[in-house]
Amino acid sequence: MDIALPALIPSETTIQPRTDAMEQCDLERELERLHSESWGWALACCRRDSEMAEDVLQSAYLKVLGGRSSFNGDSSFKTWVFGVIRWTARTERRRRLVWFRRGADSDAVNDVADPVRGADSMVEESDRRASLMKALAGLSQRQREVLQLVFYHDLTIEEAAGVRKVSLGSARTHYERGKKALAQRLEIDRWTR
Amino acid sequence: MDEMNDDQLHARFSSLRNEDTRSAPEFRPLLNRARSRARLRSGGHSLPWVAAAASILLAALLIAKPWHDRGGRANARAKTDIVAWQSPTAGLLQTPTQDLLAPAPLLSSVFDGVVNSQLQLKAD
Repeated sequence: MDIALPALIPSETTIQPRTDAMEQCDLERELERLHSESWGWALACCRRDSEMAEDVLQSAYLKVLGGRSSFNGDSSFKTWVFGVIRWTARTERRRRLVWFRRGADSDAVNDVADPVRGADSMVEESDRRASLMKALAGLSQRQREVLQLVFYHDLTIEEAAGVRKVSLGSARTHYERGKKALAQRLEIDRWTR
Repeated sequence: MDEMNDDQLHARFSSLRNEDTRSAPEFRPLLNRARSRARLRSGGHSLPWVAAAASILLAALLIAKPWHDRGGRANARAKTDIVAWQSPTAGLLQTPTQDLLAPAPLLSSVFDGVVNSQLQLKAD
């Protein structure tokens, strides 16, 4: 399936004008450089389901390297790859919804907490991560994705709008409302502990 | 109740990112798995087509073979029939005196004559 993503907002990390002009090894190198970020974004797009995130990432990499998704050079490579991952995750979610009808969102959040580190600080850190994921899970998908892109991946709101293919105004609204809701949820979680 | 500011949110997300980075699968093995899976899928897609083509071919052979055998048997029967065929009036040519009317064997008569005349000459 061909995915023609629209032109995204340029950023300072734009690397090459076109994918077809880039050598395969250049593409692989860039993907490798972005890999940990892509992994984090894939996890976010897959509701922290690591197995699904790996499947999505594999498919997205094949699309990028196989030329099935073309980079038009108007955006940064990072936002373009994130767009491909988001698209692939959406397709995969729909496919799984049809075939398996499974909703493993809350279980995935609870599983991530890892209190077996020994040190108290590690446990506390783990608890904080778990509460963040729990709070994020309570937001709408749009709010969650925009916040993830801005706070986790350090994108601007404009770039986040490009990845999500929404207008800047819409992205800004999701960002503001999402941030407020997230902060409230985290505070409530902190006070109820 | 004070709401969290951007820095605190950044710190929370940063902690999550660090944890994710630690648990991230390695790039090369993941890419290799993706490629081998794609190869398997492409092979898996062609396999049903090959199986279907083979089934059709087999079915066509099974259907065609009895027809071929039936045709061969019919040909053999036709050849036998042609060899054994007699005209409807052939029976009229079969008469009791047919043997008498038949000419004497040529070879024996010629030799007989020669032998007889030689013997006659010698006797004379």
